[in-house]
Amino acid sequence: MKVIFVKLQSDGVTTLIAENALYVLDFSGSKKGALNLVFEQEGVSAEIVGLYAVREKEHFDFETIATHKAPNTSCVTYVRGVLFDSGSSNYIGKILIDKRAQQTSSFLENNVLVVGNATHNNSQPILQIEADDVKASHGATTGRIDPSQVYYLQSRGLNAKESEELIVQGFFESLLAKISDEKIKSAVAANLGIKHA
Amino acid sequence: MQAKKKNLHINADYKSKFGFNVDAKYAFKSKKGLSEEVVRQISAMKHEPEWMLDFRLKAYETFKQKPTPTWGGDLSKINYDDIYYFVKPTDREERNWEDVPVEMKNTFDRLGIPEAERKHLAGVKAQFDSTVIYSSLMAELEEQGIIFLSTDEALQKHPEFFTQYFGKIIPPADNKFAALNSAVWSGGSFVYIPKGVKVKRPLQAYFRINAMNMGQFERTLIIADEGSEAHYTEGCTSPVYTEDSLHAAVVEVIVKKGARFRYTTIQNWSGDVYNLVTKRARVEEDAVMEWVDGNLGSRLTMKYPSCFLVGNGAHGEVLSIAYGGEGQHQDAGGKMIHIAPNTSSQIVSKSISANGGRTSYRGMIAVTPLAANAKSRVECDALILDSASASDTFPVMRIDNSSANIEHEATVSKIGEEKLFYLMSRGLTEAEAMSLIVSGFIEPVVRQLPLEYAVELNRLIELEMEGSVG
Repeated sequence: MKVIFVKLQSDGVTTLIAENALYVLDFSGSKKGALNLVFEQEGVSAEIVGLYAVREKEHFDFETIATHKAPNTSCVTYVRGVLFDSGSSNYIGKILIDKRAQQTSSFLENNVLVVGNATHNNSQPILQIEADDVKASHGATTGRIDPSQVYYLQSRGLNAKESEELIVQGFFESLLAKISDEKIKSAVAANLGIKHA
Repeated sequence: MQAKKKNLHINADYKSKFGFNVDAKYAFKSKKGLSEEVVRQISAMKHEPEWMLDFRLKAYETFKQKPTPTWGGDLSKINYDDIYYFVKPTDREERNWEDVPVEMKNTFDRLGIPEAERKHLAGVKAQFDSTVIYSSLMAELEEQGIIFLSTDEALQKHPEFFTQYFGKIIPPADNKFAALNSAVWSGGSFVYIPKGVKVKRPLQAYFRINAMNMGQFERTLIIADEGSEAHYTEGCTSPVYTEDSLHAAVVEVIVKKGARFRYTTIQNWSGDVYNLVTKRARVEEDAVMEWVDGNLGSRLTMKYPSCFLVGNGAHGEVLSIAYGGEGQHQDAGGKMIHIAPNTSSQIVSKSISANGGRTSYRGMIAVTPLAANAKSRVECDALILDSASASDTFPVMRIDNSSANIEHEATVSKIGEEKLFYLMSRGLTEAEAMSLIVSGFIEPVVRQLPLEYAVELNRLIELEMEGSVG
């Protein structure tokens, strides 16, 4: 699938007309901003991937919007973030389905993995549905890194920090694998500060 | 597959079913509109202590200053000057069924609740307009030391609870409608469950609104003392008015250490009522609070029962069903505020929109820095039955503690064609099939209701769906 790297603009909303593509959020510049992906053409199917790691005292504040205006469109939005010590993030994930956009399916998954302490996370997944023949859903989780996983890795000889790193890497891996463009994939991994396969 | 136009009407024939308006004899009716004079009059009529009058007057000032919320539904059409703020049907509270005026008995008969059934239930309190006129408490409740009175009566008899708790969980400045209620409140229930007392049967209140343009501002205060257990239920079927009517209640619940309390509401307002209710519980150490909330009817409902989980190990739940039909907007949900460690919460919301109705889930999960190891789970599902209807989900998760475990999921869908097809292939009509699917959809909440409520709700939905689909 075609991959489009979208740089966030801290001062406003980046509006794009959806095509059959994978849209990857680029946090290398601004950690603030919004992407509004507008489905205007019938039958278009797209995905949005946003991966971010919030290091010490950093703050991420962004929004994704899937705006469905045409029938028979589909969108899946994946947003995953890791919070290290005193990191904070604020994410709004909207799915808007217009009256005209029948037979639309739109999903959103937002997972936040908390590794550090004194973290703050705000998640607001929003659905606004005006059509009836649609499938729309979202799921959002915020949870601490599983201590039993860390313990297991430590029992295999890794130290605590290495164990956490490996778990964080695994948390992002399945979504990184979606990015078929190697250059973009490497850029995302570098920005996350992780190794990737 | 071309979706067939579903013409589904719950409450469409409300007028013939519940829409009667018997002539009640009012002992007193305040003049229309709100002023300091009306507030003073209400307090004087009730022979209230000075501090309550001050409380009302301050709340009235707050009400005037607070802006009308701009989120949620459309509140711009409420005309505060066209409402009676206090109506008193008879001069005294009736305790014996024989003393209840005939018109009011007729009202209860029309609601289909026989007296025998009421006697069977523990402590029925029926609110006819602003004052509780009928209340029967079974002797066993009184023997256990349970206090179950109208809030007005309780203020006279047990003022000590009021100075300690009244307006403490929901202060008048909380929001515009809490301020309005605080200024003009009348009726509602007061419940006190003593330490360690477990009430097996639900405490029931039955509400009616019955005067043209009459606002209903009941005020409920419940204290479940340490280690107690109880279940309070209320239900409404209000008659049809031609003009808008306002219902702005405040419900405060205190669940003390180790206690367990459930508050069940099934509301079926007529299509012109604004139902703007503030419900909040303070949940202390190892206590459990459950809100079960069913919203049918009304022009606009805005109601988000909340739990403030202030004690270690406290647990809060909200189970919510909303049905938004023609011209209706149900903006409902729940709020869980985790303030203490090891607290947990759950919100399950099921909504159905049909005939141009709109349902919105609006919720909040907040985990404060002090609430270590908090857990919360939110599930909200919406069914949209036709193309004229709409549904929204507006959850907020504010997590300021690194040890929290928070899950939220929401789905919006229509009734699956394949499910309909399957059921119809088994010999059901389309209406029966839809009704069955809707019943199944709301079943997780309905099964938490007391039997008579579950039967009533299921019957209402079934009746309304039969014969009107197609």
